[in-house]
Amino acid sequence: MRDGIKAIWEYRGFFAQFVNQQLRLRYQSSVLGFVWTLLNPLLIYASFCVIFSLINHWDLKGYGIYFFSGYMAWTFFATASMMGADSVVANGSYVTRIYVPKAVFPLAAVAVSLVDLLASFAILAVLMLVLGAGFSPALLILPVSALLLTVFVCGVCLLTSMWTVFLRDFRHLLSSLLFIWFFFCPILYRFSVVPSAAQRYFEWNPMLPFLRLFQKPISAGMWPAGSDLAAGAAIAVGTAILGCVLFFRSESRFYYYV
Amino acid sequence: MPQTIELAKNLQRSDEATSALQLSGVGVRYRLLTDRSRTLKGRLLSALSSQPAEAEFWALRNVDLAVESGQVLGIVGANGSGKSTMLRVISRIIEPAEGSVRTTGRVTPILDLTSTLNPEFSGRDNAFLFGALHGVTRALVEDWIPRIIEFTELGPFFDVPLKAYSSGMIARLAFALSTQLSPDILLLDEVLSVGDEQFQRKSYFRVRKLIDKGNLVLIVSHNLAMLEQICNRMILLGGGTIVADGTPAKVVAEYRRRVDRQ
Repeated sequence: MRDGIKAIWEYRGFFAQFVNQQLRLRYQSSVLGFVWTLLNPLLIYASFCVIFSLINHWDLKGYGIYFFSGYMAWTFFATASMMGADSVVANGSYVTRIYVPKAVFPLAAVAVSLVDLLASFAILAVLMLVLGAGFSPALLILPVSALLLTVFVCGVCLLTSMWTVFLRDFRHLLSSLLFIWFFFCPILYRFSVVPSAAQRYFEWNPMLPFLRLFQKPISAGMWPAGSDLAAGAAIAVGTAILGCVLFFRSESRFYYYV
Repeated sequence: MPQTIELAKNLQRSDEATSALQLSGVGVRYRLLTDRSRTLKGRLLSALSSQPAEAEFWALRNVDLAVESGQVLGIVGANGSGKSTMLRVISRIIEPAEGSVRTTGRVTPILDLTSTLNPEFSGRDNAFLFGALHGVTRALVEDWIPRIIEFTELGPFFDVPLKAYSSGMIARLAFALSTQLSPDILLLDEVLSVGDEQFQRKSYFRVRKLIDKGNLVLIVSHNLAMLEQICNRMILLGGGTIVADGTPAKVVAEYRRRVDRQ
């Protein structure tokens, strides 16, 4: 594993150049660039917001902020996982023509999605101003929340990119899985509305601590629980290590499958 | 062949760092993949049937080779004899299933000129990406740029995405980029045959200069006359193993004899 990480470090120049170009491809290829990539999640956000607050007679201000706080974390996780899944296969021309540490590609997908996450923080700030929500000092924990989630997403992307190399149809499975997973996460609804008998099963959701690390400071203005921080850190580091070990063990076989 | 001797001397004189390459007992096994083994659906289906999903064959087997600084090694052999596979193993694109490859010095493979260039980006952006891929700093790539523009005659096209280029323009750019490198161990695969005759003549001298810069060079080609002229050692591959190794004249004669016998 140390060799694998060392190889990535040696190719940091390529990584930076590659991410730079991916970002430009994503944001410059259309005139509105940046707007288009944010428009889709924002439209989904707005429709869910209006519909759910209408149906449930929830207060739009409180619900709007709550929903956004979880949704921004989820969107980062889900888009990065999907982009990561395609990353090695899409860059097969590198894999078969020159030596390059393959982990550069899923990690670049994470870096590109991370820019979207930063943009959604800006949108959050606007939203909080518009809806007149209070800014609490607990918001200072958000860089830590984002860092832990990023480490987790790196691990997940290493895994999804690897599985897609070996099994081309994995991405279809993944997109269905993410769709279902989303509804089992307390993002559209609050954890408290989950029937108490089912709550202990919902606790097994590995995304839960990360969601709470975003939701609690943003929508409740409270510091997240220490147990959520600990669980988030453990899941993030564990997934990243698992991703690295499995990825580095199999990357030498990518050539034959890409 | 006076020219060959002169080149060989040149190379030895310009050597400061030493590069070396050693293959011991190298074997590469290819898997022939079917749709069955590439998808989840296929895996599930083949679990139900008894047909094997993968077939395999050895592209290289029991290859022992030591190359030192100053050697320009030409590799010849029929199609499918393992020439390109050998370069891929040395450049770490493929890991050998058996044996080991040891290299001293940076390996620069130029196996396929255009495929690592991105059509969505301009010549300039591709230059930086190409440099990064070969471990060249941004500052050094900046130095290259005037020379690349001059050689490729791309002019204003240099800042236009590659998808607007003709295939000849892309080949010139790829060629110009590749020949800017200062490799320790240089691997060339049939790249000397790009472009029209005029470009080939112009490019030939660049390749010669690149080979002069290389400490240790391996060239795969079907052009026996060219190999005989620039190499000071040659090997002949057949069925994934080395069947002849020696001076260019000897190996070319052996190759011709084998071709005639068929």
